[in-house]
Amino acid sequence: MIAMPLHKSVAIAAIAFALAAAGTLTLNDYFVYVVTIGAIFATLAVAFDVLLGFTGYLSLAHGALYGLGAYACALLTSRYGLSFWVALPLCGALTGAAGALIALLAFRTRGLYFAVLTLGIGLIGHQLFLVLPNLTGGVGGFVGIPGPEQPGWLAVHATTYYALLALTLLLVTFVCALLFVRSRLGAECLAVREDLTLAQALGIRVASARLAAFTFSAVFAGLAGALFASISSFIAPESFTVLGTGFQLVALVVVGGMGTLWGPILGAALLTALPEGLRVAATLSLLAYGVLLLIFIIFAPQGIASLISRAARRIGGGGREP
Amino acid sequence: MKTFITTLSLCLATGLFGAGPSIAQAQEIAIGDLHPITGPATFYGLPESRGIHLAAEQINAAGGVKVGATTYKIRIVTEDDQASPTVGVAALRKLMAADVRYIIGPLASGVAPALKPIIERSDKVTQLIDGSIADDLTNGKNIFRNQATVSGYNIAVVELFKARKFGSVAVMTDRFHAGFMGSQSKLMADLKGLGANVLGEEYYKLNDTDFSAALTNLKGKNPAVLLIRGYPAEGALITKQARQLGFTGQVVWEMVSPPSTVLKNISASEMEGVFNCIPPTTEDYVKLGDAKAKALDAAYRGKFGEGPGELTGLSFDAVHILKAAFEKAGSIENAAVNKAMGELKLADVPALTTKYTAQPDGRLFDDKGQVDLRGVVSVWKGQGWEPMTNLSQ
Repeated sequence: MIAMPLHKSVAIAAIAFALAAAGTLTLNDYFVYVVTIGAIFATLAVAFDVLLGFTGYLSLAHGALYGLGAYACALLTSRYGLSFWVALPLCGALTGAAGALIALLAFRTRGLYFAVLTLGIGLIGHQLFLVLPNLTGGVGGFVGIPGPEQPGWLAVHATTYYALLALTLLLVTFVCALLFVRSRLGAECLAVREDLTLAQALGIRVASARLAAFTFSAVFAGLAGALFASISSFIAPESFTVLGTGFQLVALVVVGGMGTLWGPILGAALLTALPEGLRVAATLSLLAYGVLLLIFIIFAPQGIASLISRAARRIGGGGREP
Repeated sequence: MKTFITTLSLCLATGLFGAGPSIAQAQEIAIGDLHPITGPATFYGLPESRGIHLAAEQINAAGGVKVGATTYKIRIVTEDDQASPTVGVAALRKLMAADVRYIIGPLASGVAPALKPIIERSDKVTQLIDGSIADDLTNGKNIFRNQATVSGYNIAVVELFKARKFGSVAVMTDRFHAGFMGSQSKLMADLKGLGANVLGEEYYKLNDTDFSAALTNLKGKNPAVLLIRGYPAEGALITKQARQLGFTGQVVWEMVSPPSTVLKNISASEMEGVFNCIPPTTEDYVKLGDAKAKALDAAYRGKFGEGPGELTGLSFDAVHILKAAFEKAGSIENAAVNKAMGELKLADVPALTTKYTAQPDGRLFDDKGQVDLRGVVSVWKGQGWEPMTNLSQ
């Protein structure tokens, strides 16, 4: 995707979005819901990949940032009466600011220590959702969050409208991520990922590059959280745990393919659909999920994206990989 | 040969080899069974699901549901919510997409609030909650509950403290149990009002195994009662560890606790004398000699090869409540059935195995769609719980 001209990448993304949106119109309520959740997780995964795949930093605080966006939207819309469309950018700004603060703290460390530090922040965030019942509803959750206002001219069922919103947010996130990774900052992030010491020696603005990557991913995690809260009408701390959402994001990006942007979308599609598809054999679904992760990590560590790229090269070149 | 093939084709086309048009095809009402069939709450959810299937099977065998001139068979569609809000919402969406308009469940107090906004927005779904005890779930319009609320559980705790005049209490509560957490401050205020000093409140979570730090802290305050609110696996471990740490006071549970689950983590002798404050379970009714409960117990054992779960009776009742509502409404449309549910008298559902208290006007549900089902006190004797008839002794 990197090698492809920007306008072509955006055009392909727009076509994929249009096809997905058109497909959504034909689905029943349940599959529309699966698409909606899949698109929200794909948004999270694309944003997360900017940090993990393009900058090389594993954050486990993103479940909490996702939750921060969700609770902020819940408070702004249900307690303060703001429209979802006003609350949405505020949630993005809030999580972006929180992400920048976390980044300033966390980038004092690197490698394993960075992951452990963000793990701590993720745990603190989840605990705060639990122990501040006046703000968050505590363990009982936040009930009665208004849904996004639907324009009168869009004559579709509410669940379809939510799916279209989730797909739109995914498209916007993808395009913004594409612009980011192809910018000078993105190139600096790649240099940081490849060799931090060399990047510093070359005079690359390491601090600003990784701060920008963390903030970028935090903003879109917050937007995804806000949309999730608004379309669910109910949120609870369980949805924002480190062991749940935090590690799930890592799985989506690893299975999909780190550093590809479209790979995490495939990872989100697969890992959202899989538990639903295996619902008939519910006792086996988690087992299958784990086995799939093992298979990808052992046999295809570059994820689905690399498998598809390899297959495309073979078909296109008609021969072996170099 | 040609004639044979033609005849065969006609037979297939008209369905004569099956229950074809010559025999009237029974119409069906699909009822969704939304419970944790897998995951940490399976020991509650599976017996509930089985109770629903058993009730439907018995109703169908007895002729089905007579709605006006039409007789319907009940078809149960089971979905597993794994006691998780996210999975539960997806399961509900799946049932709704399959045009299942009547839902029994869920069990988990974390799942029910996540389903509520979706069900409230729909005029094509009626929900009957048979498990979750969290407050404020019903609306009396299309969400009803034949399980107690957590406030109903607390009544038994308060009655016990009143009868025994306990002077102090220390509490351990499952932090992730929405119902218990939501009612904790009210219960503590009620106990203080009875003169019981609340010496400490500690929290734990599902699957915790070491409670010694919290228990050492609480034991140091020398409470007369250790009140445990949550799930039985942890309840058993807390009780065992409290005894090992030398706590000699009264242990009181507030949780639905199948003895088979309890005894995995504690011996029967260590459980001796522990009180439990919940509404009577199917097993309690069987022990009290209730004929309907005994019939349910026998049928369940016959079908599944083991005894019913503690909430099986509620799930079994839920199917009969819906049946009565369909017949009273004379329709299977949600609006009519919802209205009938609200007007249903306790006497309209003779098959109920649980002893609900009728509303003052004889109805089963109050205006908010909630039954009156109160906690009672049981005591552990030998291998299981025994209902207490005299709280003072």
